[in-house]
Amino acid sequence: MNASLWWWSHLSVALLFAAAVVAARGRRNAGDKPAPSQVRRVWPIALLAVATGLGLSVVPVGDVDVAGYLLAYSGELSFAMLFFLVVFLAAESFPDAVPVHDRHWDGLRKVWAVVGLALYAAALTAWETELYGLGFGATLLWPALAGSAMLAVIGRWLPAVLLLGIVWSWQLRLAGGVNFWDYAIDPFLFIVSFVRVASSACRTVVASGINWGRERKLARVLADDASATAS
Amino acid sequence: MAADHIPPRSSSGAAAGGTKQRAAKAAYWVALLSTVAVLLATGRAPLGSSRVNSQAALIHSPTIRVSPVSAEASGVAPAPVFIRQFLDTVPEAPSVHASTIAQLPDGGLVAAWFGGTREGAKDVAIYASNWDVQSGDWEPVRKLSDRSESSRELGRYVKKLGNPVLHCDPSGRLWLYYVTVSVGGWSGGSISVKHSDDQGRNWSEARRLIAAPFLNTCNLVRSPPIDLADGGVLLPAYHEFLYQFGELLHLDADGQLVDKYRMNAGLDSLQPALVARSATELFAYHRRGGASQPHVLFNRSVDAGRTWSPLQPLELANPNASVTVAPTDSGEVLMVLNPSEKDREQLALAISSDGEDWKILTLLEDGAAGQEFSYPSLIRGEPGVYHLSYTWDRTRICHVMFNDAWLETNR
Repeated sequence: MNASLWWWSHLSVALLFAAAVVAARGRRNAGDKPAPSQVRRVWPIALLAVATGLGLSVVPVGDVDVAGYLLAYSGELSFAMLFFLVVFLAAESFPDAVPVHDRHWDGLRKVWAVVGLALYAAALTAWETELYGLGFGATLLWPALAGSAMLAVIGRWLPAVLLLGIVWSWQLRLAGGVNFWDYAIDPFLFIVSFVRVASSACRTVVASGINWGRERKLARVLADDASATAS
Repeated sequence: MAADHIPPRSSSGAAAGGTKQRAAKAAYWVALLSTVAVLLATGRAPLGSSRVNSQAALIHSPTIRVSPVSAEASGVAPAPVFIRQFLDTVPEAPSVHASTIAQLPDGGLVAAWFGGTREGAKDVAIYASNWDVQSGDWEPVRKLSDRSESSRELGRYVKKLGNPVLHCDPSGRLWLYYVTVSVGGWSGGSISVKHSDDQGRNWSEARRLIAAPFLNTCNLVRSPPIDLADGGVLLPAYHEFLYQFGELLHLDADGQLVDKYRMNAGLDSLQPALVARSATELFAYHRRGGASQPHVLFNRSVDAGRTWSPLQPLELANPNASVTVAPTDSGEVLMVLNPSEKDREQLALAISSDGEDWKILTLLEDGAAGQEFSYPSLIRGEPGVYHLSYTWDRTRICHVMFNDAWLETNR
């Protein structure tokens, strides 16, 4: 196991642990500006949680440590997942410097949900085209960089930086894999994104259904009123 | 995509914040331009011109290394040779299976297999033995790797070990690909790789081939790879989760994964065994799985493995068991298989001139009911000489050596 893979796996555990701790504190509402006292309280907790997570990750469990044990079940997390966790922790700790809220991830969640669905379904022969194969070699290298630049030009800095980070970690083989997709998405990111997108879509459908019902009811009432007035 | 614009600020630090934002944006552009510069400097030109780059050329046009044809006979016809030997066993591994065999540069052989109290048990380890070309004997068995060692080397918990595959590349480096499982059954397997530069005495640390998007599971190996002209290999692998199908892993000379090709879109075939017919043509023979017909499945590629014809059943029966193939010096193809639709009690040697029409030459094993002779591994060694290893009733590994002259006597 090389050094970068060691750090990748242990940092994954530390960031997951820290994110869970910070999230458990209660996330602030999107758009709310926390008081300075709150700001002071969050970052030491996040930092301590990362350090604690890192410490826990090296506790021996049989032939491996906690990180190695969890890695067996989770696989390497993607760069995108680590980026999400880091930005989440930074935004919770320093909301003025990193003003990223939950809603800012909505677009990326849709991308992860769609890409994950296509990638994992193709891997199980839902269709013959092997989308994962596109991630080998340099096929996606220049499109990814061009995409990142375009996103930056139109002011979408979060996905722009994410895409650039994916390219860097991929080219440096930081997580051991040589495929673009290993750094862009992982099953956990997909599942979380898919659930959020699907539940949001369901809520929208239900809400529009309710509104449609209300509108019909209102239309009926107005029609009744109109006929009563006419008679 | 939702807006990720920075929310409006009302505090007096807006100006300072704006400066920070400008600095962050500038840092992004510097990072992007640096990335482009580094990539261009290291030869990763944008698509199009990258075709001239060696790495890209390798990806887009793998070429199979064609084995040299043996020299003509010196005038004296060799005598038929057929030798059967058993490899040693070790007490801690009463159950052995899935052997693999490779020829070393000095003409010797090395074989590996997994053994333990039973297949899938936690005490299963990969064992190996070398065959000395001078004495013609197998050396004492040694352990190559076990679950604990693999866990430590891979930095992750490994629950059990599975099929090993040995391959000696043209440079003399010996490679060991083997299955490790961390979660679930065999379908949760992934491929790990080690290499040895001293004929299998000492090995590098194991590392994983990350070849699947879903937790890198469902990838297994059984058959040896085909050498490519540039030193790389095409390693036949297979997927075994929900569906079963063959895949081809394209590795470079350093054993790094370069690309992956799906061998068929079918749902019930696994453990493809390959034979190269030319610099671009490959034949593949698949173990049938699941509900497919109880016959050996066949397909071919004419572009060095990138695309494959649809699978078709051969006349040869297959009881859902591994098969192995090797080319002869005269361009025919040899196959060792269980010639039954139901059991593994017989092991047969078959031959074909075109790869599709087969003739059973002889039964190598004809056991009693309940016995198992399976998982054969056949290689062409010295010109005109073939080596076969297989599971002998799950208790021993058997090695058979025969030559072209012996084949002739059995036609």
